[in-house]
Amino acid sequence: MQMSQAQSVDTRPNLPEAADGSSGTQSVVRDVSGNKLRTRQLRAFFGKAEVLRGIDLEFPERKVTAIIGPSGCGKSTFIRCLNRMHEVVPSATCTGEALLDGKDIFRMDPVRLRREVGMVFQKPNPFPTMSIRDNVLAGLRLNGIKVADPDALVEKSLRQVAMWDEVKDSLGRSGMSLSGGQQQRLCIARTIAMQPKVILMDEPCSALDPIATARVEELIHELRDSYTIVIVTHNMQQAARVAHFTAFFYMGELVERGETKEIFTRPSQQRTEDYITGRFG
Amino acid sequence: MSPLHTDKEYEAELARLREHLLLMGAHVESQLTAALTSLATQDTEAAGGITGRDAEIDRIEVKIDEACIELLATRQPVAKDLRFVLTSLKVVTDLERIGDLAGKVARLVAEGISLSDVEAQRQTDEMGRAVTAMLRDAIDALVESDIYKAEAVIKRDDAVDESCAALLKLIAQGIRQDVQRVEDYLRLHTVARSIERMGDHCTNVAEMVVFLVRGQHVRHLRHSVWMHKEPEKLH
Repeated sequence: MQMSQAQSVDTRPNLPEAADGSSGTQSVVRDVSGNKLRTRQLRAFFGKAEVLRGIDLEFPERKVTAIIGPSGCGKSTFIRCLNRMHEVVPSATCTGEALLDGKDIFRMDPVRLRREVGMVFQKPNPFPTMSIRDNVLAGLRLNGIKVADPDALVEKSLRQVAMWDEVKDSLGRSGMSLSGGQQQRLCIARTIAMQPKVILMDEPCSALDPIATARVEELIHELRDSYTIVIVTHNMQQAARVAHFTAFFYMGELVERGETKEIFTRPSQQRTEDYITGRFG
Repeated sequence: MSPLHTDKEYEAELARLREHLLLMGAHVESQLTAALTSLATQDTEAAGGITGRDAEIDRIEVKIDEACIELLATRQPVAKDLRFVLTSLKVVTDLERIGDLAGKVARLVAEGISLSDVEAQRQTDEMGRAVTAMLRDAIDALVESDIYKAEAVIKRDDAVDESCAALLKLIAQGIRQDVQRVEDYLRLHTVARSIERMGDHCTNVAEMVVFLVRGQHVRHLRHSVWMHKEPEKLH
């Protein structure tokens, strides 16, 4: 369900989209700071309940940023705002600004935005009736995008997630026949096939065993040279292992954001220190 | 004071590590005091009894090492907990070395060392007192995470170094004046060097306290670069 004007507390007009995906009349402010994505005073609501209280956060290009925080702090809601999945929920709204390459995402066509800002979910969700090959191409097909050489794209995407050698002889098998870890990597391949600018990951390893988790983390290391990645995780060691930057959310607020090594060795905020050392609540 | 860990067992494990450190510090301080007393009183019998005390210090050192390894493996500590575990791993080496050096002084006393040179004896006593105080304050600073006390310990090491240099001059002079007593002076030289090294180890402990509190490595920095600065408080 798309966010309607009536549901939204955002009073900005729904401007027509230009060919490049940006608003036709909006002035585009190019971000020269090296940030692929940034938010300013981003607020999110469920009905009248404010769950994000004005988040200013930057995501440098081709870097991994982890978002940590206790359950209910708003971290998943935050990344769901970044590809406008939040507003799909009835009564859910958001205000403020989120700029992708300087363009306000709230003035972009949500479907087009989701091609540029892909999402990998907590539970691997390959399409159950589709083969491995079709799962990789699913996003493109659903968006009506024709690919000149689909086989080459399938191979390239599966190679990027280090699955090609494992499945190259069984591309016609159901995606559901794979292990949990392989299914998650297949979902990442599906996201990559869309050639997004940003990949959002919402606890991508929480349903995986340690070996499958290590493979996904290794994959994140590979992908960070090509994509801007935002990962929400409850596993702080995972944040420490994979992310260049870490942001700590608490009760809908951004408490602290910094280089991961600083956050985990000498955070500047007492609340961050208390949370990461397990002295919370 | 920050709140306790949500996981009480983790809190207890860190508390046990702190207790072991205190215990090791107390044993080392006691060993040092006994060695310096035997030196000042020329009590060869007492000195002979001290040399066997190393085993208990070594046992606690191993226990602390094991506790740190277990905490790292099972708790993956971060931030100040990580700094505390790393500090513990580092300072036990310094404390153990101070214990060894105190044992070395006691062995020299047990073998017989004659301090007939009044000025040399005065200088040795002075160095010994200074280093004993440094050790006590370094352990206090560690336990209390007191950065100002740690800074004071580090500054006092310069005075110990100066005393040592003055004592070595006296020793050289003594050898030139009375070559027959060269062995005594050589033993005294070893004592002076040992006490001076203990001061260095106390300084190392104090520098690790700075790391523990601020997360800043100051081991190879000039004092003026980092001292007398307000510790960064967490907001």
